[in-house]
Amino acid sequence: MRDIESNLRAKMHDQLDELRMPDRLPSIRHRARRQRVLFATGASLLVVALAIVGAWGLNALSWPYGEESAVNQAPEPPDTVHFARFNITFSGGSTNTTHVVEINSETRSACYDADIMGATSGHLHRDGQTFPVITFKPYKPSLCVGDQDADILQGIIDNPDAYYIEFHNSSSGGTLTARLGSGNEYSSNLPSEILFAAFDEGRSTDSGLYTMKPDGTNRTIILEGSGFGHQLERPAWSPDRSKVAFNVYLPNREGASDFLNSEIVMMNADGTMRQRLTHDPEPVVGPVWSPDGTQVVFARADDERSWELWVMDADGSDQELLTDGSTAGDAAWSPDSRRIVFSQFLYRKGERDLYNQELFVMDIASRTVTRITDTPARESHPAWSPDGSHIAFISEQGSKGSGLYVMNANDSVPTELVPQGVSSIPGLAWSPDGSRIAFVKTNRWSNPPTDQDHDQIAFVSAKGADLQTIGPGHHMILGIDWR
Amino acid sequence: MHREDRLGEVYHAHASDGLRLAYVLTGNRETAEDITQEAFVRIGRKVIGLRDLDHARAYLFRTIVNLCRGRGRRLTLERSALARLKPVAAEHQPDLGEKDEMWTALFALPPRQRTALFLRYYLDQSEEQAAETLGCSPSALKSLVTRGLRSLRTTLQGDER
Repeated sequence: MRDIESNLRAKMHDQLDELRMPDRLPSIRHRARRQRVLFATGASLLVVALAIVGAWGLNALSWPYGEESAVNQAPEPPDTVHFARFNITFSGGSTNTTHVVEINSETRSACYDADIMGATSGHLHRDGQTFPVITFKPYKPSLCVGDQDADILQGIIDNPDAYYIEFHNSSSGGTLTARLGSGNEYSSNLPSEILFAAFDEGRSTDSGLYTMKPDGTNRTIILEGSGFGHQLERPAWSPDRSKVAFNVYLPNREGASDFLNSEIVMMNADGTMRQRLTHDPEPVVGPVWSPDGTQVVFARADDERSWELWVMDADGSDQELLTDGSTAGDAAWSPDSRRIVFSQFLYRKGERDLYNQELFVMDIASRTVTRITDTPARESHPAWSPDGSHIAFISEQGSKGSGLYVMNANDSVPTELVPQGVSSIPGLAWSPDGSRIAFVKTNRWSNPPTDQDHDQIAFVSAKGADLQTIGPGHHMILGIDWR
Repeated sequence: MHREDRLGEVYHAHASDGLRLAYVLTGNRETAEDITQEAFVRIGRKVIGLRDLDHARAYLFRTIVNLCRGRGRRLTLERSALARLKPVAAEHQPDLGEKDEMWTALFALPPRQRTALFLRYYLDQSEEQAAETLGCSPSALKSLVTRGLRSLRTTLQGDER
């Protein structure tokens, strides 16, 4: 065999050494630039076309998640962004209730999403002054303070006790007073909230992004998807919970979601200020915020063969490739922002083995990748516990279906928390205190199959006990986060 | 570094090896040049995003392999269509350079075996590097090389007999 090797080596050098690639760099640069221009032009034409179509009332083909130009027209962020949350207590009515209103000096808005006992208008008061700055969202019973100048906001933040809100009910003529109190700069002691994406075939008004308390109450839709054509997926809170990033599948010509055309969108947690962070010919999915809120990691389809992990600044700029031809996805940051855990398919006999997906950890500074699981099953959706000591993940093992597992971040011996019935699509989320894990329980693979609501939010303790499900089900739940 | 300078740096460092790989896979110099150019257009954005430019070489080779595979599929269809009309056109036959038993035997191998032999015996890549380029495991790479060499030996020794 050795003579064959040396003959082959000599023959290759004999035949190939003289081959030189001519200088086609100018043409390559020209084509690369032209592609960018064509794409930008195409996007612009698409915007114009969509605007025209939208004017005709064909809403199914429009882009409902903010103006296309919003990325360029986004206001310069102020030097200091103030977030404040206040308890507001109703002093009138049959019961005393306390709710939370958030004021964000960056977006100059404050929203309170709840039915305020039939109120149809409201005013902000202080020291005998009245500020006509309270408006009602037209499409749901919620109260928004908006467009006020920064001085008023700062005054509220500095001295919330001096303010109160009066709500008025135009039909009954009644008035209700809510007092702003206990103002504080953004605090981690806030009640945690679940964020999830739901899709309900044929019930477009039920599809969208939801928030709710962990006990299932305060279930609020913060952004409506329109069913097929604008399927929303993989929402993620920013660390301070002021923003939400997610990906949306844009509609194809038939109005159905084009699963080769997904973009990442960011918005305020109240659904306002929607900005598109990516403008890609390839699908991009699964945004996850870094713990310091400055970056977002996501997956982008490379070509028909593989997905890669990328990282970008939280405004969509400075996109950088993280992985290397690995068919990677499901990224999650370590709490110290130094590492990313992700899933990746293995190769067998030179081909990607779609039945063998393992978990890997990348040290971001060195790009060193370490494999942390080794099973014949498909491991996916890893998530670090808030203290960084454990990693929870979903494992799909043949006919047994998908289960929920947790492992020590420093060894590779997983513990089974939920043996089966876990949806492998939306992933999972730790509670902020690390005591519980939220996931999606599914009966999608039931026998006989049903066409009803398959998915339901569920919780289990990090020790594997106290399994419980919460709230009504959805046809599909496509992502979950908890902060 | 300016983004287009990065592309230029990668081009000057790796374009000729990319061309040789494309040539080994297509057997036609003009086609190989076009495929190499197309590969650079496609990897342009990735090169810009890469922190470590060493990875660009692997990306380039992998893209070339995929493009050649796509071209192979198109070529098969073209040949099939042409065959129904007339004998296979001369321009669709590989331009194998100097006729040679070894060279002809090499081009008779499946493309993945050919690529594996090129990476190992022309570029002197390690099994790990070659496996990365081909997107397979080192053991799979080893198997491709062994099978390629065995086929070459069978073909050449058979001719001797």
